[in-house]
Amino acid sequence: MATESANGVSSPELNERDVVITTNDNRNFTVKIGVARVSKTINNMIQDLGESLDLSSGIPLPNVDGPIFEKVLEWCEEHKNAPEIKVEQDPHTRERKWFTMTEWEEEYFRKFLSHLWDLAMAANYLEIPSLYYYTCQKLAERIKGRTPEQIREMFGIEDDLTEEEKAEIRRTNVWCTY
Amino acid sequence: MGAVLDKFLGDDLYTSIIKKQSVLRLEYLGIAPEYLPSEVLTDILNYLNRNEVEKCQLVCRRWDRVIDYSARGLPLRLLPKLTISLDNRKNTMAYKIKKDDDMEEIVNPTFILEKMPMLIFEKIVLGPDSLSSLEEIFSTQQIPGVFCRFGTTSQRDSEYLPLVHNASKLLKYLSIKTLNLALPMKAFIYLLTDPSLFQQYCLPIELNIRAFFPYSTPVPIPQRMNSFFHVLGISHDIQMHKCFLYLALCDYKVMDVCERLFHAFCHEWYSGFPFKAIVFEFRNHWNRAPIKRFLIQNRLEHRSENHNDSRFDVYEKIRDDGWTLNIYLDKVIKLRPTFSDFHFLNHDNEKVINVMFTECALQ
Repeated sequence: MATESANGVSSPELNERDVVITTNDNRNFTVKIGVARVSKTINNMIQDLGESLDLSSGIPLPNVDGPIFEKVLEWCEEHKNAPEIKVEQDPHTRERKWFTMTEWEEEYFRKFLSHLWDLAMAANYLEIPSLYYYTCQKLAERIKGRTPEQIREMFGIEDDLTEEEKAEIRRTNVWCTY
Repeated sequence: MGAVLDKFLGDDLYTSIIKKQSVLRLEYLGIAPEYLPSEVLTDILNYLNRNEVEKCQLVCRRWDRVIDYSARGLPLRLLPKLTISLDNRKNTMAYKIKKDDDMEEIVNPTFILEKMPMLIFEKIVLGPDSLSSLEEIFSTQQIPGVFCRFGTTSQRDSEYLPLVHNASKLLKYLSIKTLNLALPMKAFIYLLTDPSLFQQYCLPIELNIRAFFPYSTPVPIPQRMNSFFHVLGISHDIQMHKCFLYLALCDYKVMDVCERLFHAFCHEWYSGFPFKAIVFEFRNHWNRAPIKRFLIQNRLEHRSENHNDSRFDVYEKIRDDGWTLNIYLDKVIKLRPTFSDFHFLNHDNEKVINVMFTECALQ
């Protein structure tokens, strides 16, 4: 059990086996490899470790804390068999096309509305494209149509621009309607 | 309590709640990370349009810097048209930008260069003889545009070949789908008959070519037209979706040319003709801007008009070979520049070829 051979890494049986993942607050999560693999970062670790992978002693995730990883796992469980998402953009303006989310995904984001930033950061680090791009879209959704003041208030951002700097930005962006 | 609140913090509610209770804001509304990686921010902003992005520059210094720094990777502002042409009166370059339905706004080149990374144009028109100076300007900038036109009025080999060469060099800096090349007939034929030259210059993109027949050239019209059609006939491998032929004609020759064109369609080129339509534009002078603008505007309006409209006089000509030539002439401005469509109707198989025809009185 201590070592799982690298050539078995892609086998379906392996997906059913458990791996222990330790977050930065020293919480251990026992996860099916098939689920953990939704994260490309973890998948790479499993593949890189290959021969020396010790499934029971676990994979450390120094950049993610327990509560967030729990939420991420919920996503991974739901998306373990989901196909790779396709990020598309308008060929001219380069605006990204908005994804249509399933009822489950909408509910997921409703539930974790106050953790969007953490989810985006964690998904970025863990390389989970579906979670990452969907979370970014959710954040964009909340920015859209809001004034800079509202955005600041919404995300607790400190207004560190001087009036002169703001005037300069407005001067430069001649075509922007605020 | 957190879960309950989360449930209630719907999109509409949270703004009012945070205004009332700052404690809730800190606890429940996901404070933006202090060291927000710029890639995460740009990935979020990529879902928004340029206007929203520019608005976000006012949020805080960090956001402003990220947006400023990654301008090239963020959405662009779509503007209908950029015109860069030689101002004949002052002999300087004129830069005009059109936004929405507004009039064209004259802008200075520094401004364009500054703005270029954030803009995309539906159409870029580079006016006659302005190319050599342009390379210098745009060699450091990628101009994202959909549509592009270069033009020259030059009749001398020594002038139009460098122009084509410059156009090809500019392609490096332009991300364009279509290139409109306005060339004298000689250059046009030269390009079409020397495929290697053609390939080298223009093939990666769709090409619109305008061939210009000067009024003053002593070669008789039929001969020039025939060579034009001949060149088109042998150039099937060249990707063009529009081809423009410019002819200088006296008024009384108009019908003659129509007949000839009609003839060419029916008997020589129709079966293998690579184009659905040919646009005819008649104008006083090749590069006289007011008339050109007038023609373009009117042609666009014209397309949407119903030709059964009583505004048009309709002339019908039935041919022995089963084709009918319908000519629509505008009643209102018959002697001023006017517009009409030619419909070639084959009664046997109901194929219709529309030949857009624009006309203005020649001096």
